[in-house]
Amino acid sequence: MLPYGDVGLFMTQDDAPAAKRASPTTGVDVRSSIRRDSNRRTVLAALPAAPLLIFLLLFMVIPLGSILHTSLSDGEIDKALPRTTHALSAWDGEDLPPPAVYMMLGRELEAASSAGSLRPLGRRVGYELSRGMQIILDGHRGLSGDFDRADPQGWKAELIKAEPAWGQRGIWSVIKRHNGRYSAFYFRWATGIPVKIDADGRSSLETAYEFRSIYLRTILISLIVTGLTIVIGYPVAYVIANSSGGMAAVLLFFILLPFWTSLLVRTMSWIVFLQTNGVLNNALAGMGLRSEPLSLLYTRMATIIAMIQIQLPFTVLPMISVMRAIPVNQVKAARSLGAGPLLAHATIFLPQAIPGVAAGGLLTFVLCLGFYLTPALVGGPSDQMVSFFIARFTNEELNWGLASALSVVLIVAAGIVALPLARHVARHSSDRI
Amino acid sequence: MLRASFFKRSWLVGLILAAGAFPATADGLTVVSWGGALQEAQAKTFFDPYAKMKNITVTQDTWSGELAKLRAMVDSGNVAWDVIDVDPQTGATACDQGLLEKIGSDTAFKSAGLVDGALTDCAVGTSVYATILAFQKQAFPKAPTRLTDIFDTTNFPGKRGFRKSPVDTLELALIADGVATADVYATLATAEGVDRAFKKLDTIKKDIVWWEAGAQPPQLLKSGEVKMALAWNGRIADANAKENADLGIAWTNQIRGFDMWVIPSGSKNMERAKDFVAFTVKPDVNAALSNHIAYGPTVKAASDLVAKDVLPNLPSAPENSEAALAQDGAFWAKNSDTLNARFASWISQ
Repeated sequence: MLPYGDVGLFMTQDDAPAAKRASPTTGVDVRSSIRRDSNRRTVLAALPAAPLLIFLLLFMVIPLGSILHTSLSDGEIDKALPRTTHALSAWDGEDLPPPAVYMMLGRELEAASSAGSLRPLGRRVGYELSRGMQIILDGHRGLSGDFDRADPQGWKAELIKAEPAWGQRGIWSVIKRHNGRYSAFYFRWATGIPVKIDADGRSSLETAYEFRSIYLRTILISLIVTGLTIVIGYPVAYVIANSSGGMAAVLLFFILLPFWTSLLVRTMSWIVFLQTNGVLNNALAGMGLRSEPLSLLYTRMATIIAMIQIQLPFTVLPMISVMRAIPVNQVKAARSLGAGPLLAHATIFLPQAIPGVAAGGLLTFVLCLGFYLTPALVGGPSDQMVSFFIARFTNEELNWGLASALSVVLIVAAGIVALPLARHVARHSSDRI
Repeated sequence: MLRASFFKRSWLVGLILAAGAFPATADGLTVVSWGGALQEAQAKTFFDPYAKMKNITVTQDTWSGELAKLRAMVDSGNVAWDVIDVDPQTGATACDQGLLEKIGSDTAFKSAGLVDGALTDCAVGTSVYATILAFQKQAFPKAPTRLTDIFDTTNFPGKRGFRKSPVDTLELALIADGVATADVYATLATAEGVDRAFKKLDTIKKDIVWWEAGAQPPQLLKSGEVKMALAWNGRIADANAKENADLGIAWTNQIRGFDMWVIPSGSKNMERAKDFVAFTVKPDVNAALSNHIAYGPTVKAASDLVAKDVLPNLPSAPENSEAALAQDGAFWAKNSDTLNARFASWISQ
């Protein structure tokens, strides 16, 4: 490990009173100058990694930070209606707000309209309140002419006439709640806490996306794919690790083949293979095995099969590299001491291969969590994973706050699963390096 | 001397203006439609003749009614589209949300002699299409006769295609569940009605393959992926005529809609856009579309100009019109946010 942490420590010593530095004969300073020297060397030694660190900063840390920022930003309401949200902080939420607030709101709606923030305001309100956009737009449309007049009752009547929802508590409680630029609103939404309210301000029963079940589905599919790639990949890795020459090369070639074709092409070929009049069904019918074609495309099974094919190399390659390092003589010794082939494998080989299995499985699991293209093309609507919804909210519904919150939750969830395993893998594989 | 330099400069200014004007397509028009057979027909009937007549470039783009794209353009004030083809519900929803210019009150369109429902606040109808039931003729011993047969998995087993949208889908579910055509929208306006529609859809959910673009259903039917599908009639007629698809059409319970032109708020070519829309509702131009795709005219005076041999393929033919339902744009404008959210959540479960 590089002692980055120490850099700061020594820097502060450097700033120590000038008197100390002025007397080079004291032992303290000799030691500190030696340390400073070794410190400089450490920094120099880290220099070759600088491009990587800069790259990570630019293309990972900063984008992640901005995603986190987007997921917490929630300032549309406060930005468009700053004085109304302020005035509502004194409102008890029981009856309707006083007419003076209606007047303030009317004027701010007009100001928002000329500033172009009326539609973003309407959309944001709509996330929490059904018909939010119409309530805002109709309210603004119903306002007549003179925006300077001081006639609170008149403003109130006008707004309620234009849109009856202004005479109910729901819209007001939404405005009141958002008197700041940041909130956990999108995180509540992304983690499946009901966020919608009805016109009266009660929690709405309106069906919304069930993100919890979508996360569960994502994790479940990833676990199945990981498990199956390990089951399929382990014997293959064993054979490749223990054979030499032609056989190993041929097997390795088949494992690596998917790496050399585009993801899209591979997924499309699954469509050709699995569709109703596709290769598989025609073959089954030709052999007289099935009269009715199997419905395989747009199912979860198709999704899992295609994902296994794509992920197999990621699981197998780490296993091979770990298995190759296991001394063959140890298994032979166990056999010569009387252990059967299975017992020798289970007690001598397998424990040493586990770090490879864990590394491959971990890689596959984390990559699976983020799958988008394959389920979108060969899966049905109920097989879509979290990434599909992130893409949907980013590109189609333009709800970037929710898309960002979904991403952050996914990253955190993957981190919680992956970190302990990754540390385990790192500890074991460092023995071998 | 002075004069010469002035000329030089004005020449330069002209060049700069011309260069600046180019990307803004001040001398062109960007038209957006739904791709495939429909857009090809529109290009032959509307875009190309108009471009030739005015000596301008008509640029084409395609979409599938995804309002978010339009919303993003209008919100950012960077509107790249001038004229857009919408169905009644998309038009009414976008109009209600302030995304469109209110061109419906223009005298040019009021006096064009459009059929009932083809002119709304923001939209001008140019053709009549229908959502129908298309099927593989050899798939069933007894051919389906009405759209609601798509809910009958006993007589018509196998996968079926639906458009991935609550529009038309929920209406049809209610009709299949026994609601009279005239009461469909009143029923769908109630919470119980919506529940009823989704409950009906639940019965066939596992057999549904969802499509998004109008060109997909003929493709899904031809490849055998589905045995029957809700589709737009012109796309099926086109596949039969040009690709030897031999697909059957059941017309009873057809859900009729208009292809309508709308102009987004803040279009950079407003006058030209309106001029183009007016061009498409001239009776002879309007009637000509039916020669290229099986959609009917919206201008009353155009009905007589349609070639006799295409009449039986149009949604408006009397023998095709039994129990027809007209898509109610105003209903969807009011309810599309709620129903879209519920549909998206239902479909992902």
